[in-house]
Amino acid sequence: MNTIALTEALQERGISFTLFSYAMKQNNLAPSQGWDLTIARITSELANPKSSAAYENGIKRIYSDLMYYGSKVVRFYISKDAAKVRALLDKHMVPDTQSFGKSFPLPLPGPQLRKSSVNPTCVFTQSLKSGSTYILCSRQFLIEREKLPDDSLEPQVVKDYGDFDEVIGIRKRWIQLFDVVLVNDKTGVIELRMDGYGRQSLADIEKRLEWLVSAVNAQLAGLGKAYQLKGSINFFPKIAELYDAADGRISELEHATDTAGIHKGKTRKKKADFREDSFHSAAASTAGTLHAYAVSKCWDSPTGVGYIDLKLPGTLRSMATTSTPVVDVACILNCASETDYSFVLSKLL
Amino acid sequence: MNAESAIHKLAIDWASDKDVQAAGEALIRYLFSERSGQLHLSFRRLIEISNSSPGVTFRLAQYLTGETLPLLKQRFELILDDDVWELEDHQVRFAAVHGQLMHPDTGTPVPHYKEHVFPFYEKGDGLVD
Repeated sequence: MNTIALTEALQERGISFTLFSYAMKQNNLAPSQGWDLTIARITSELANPKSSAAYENGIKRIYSDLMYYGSKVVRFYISKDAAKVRALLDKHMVPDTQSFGKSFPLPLPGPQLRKSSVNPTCVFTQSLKSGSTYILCSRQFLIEREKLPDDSLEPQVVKDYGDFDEVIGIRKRWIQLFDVVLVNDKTGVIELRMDGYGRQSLADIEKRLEWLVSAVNAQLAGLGKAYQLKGSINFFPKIAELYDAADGRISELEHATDTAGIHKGKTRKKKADFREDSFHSAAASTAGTLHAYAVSKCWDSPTGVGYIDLKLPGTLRSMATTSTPVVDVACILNCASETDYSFVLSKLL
Repeated sequence: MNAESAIHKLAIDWASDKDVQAAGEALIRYLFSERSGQLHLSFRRLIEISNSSPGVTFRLAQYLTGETLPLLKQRFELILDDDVWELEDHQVRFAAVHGQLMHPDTGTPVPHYKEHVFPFYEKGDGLVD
């Protein structure tokens, strides 16, 4: 696999450059400033016999890690019998060879991507002792807005339409996402990891997640109702637990008060803890129960390089219901490696 | 180090500039009163806290970020719309040398980056317990 093509694919997939830098450092590779200079640096290291193997293997590992971990929106189900679920999915999840499968692990080139499926399609399966992993690709529509330089309009346009305070460019394009389904028959946990955080809205990611749940359930139909994916793990009780636990740093918090207040706060940097913000801590110490419905918590990576984020995106609406509030997805963000991801899972489950 | 010893040191070093002395005393008292929390002060806040002119505050900030009395550390942040990225020292150095700031997320140059980069001050070694 071409090392530069893998690196360029990570940029094309919208992987945060900071996350890629952390992944390089965790693999003892040296990033430079921005994608272009880093790709130039990797090219030069690949030409050096002393470093070429380290860079070739390292980038391959990083590409895989950022596909499996990176930044994902996750949902967990506990299965009655995960081994049976696994056996059936192993049978039905046949890797595609006609579309996404042709270029996997690289994304399809633009013209071919436009002809591919918008629904998640299995492109890769891996069976290990503890369970199976399935990677599913899909084509998703993206609208990007970018502020353009003030002088980017032709004089004729200004003459016809007048001056504008801001000029915004809109790009509409298709992107390829990589979702992951894991069935662990040792723990009984079925995990759905959705790609696209930061590029798609959470609502759009959840729509694809619901489609995926329906598709998996259709494949499990033969096992009976008891094996269907339903009643996923509710993370709502974790919101207060995460806020109260002294470890890590709270980076965002949304909460309501008994006196009709709705508060949304965040730190301006990942090294700061919102609980230590003078305004928040003074209020929190006297106002009683917090009634938090959404939280983001951040930790330094256990590898010593980078930081990792866990976001529980509850809504005010969930607090207004008469039943127990439900937050059925979590956003596990900025994981440069399995070590990072496992660390966050240990805080979540 | 406590506030009184810091003010004493400032008075010796700036004996010939009473404006910096007065501004510094106000700022040092504030910094020591807030030393248990996490500090993030803009240059405008330094002007307000020290109750001095931008010129006096600039001299004072340079002094307090130096080696003699390191109560502050100067950092930079990139602000685009309502999003903020704290910049690492190596990113700022690269921008100063090459005239290009790479966006921490997109990894591509930020157009007109000088309009979007702002200094801020956090605790220096002299304030960290």
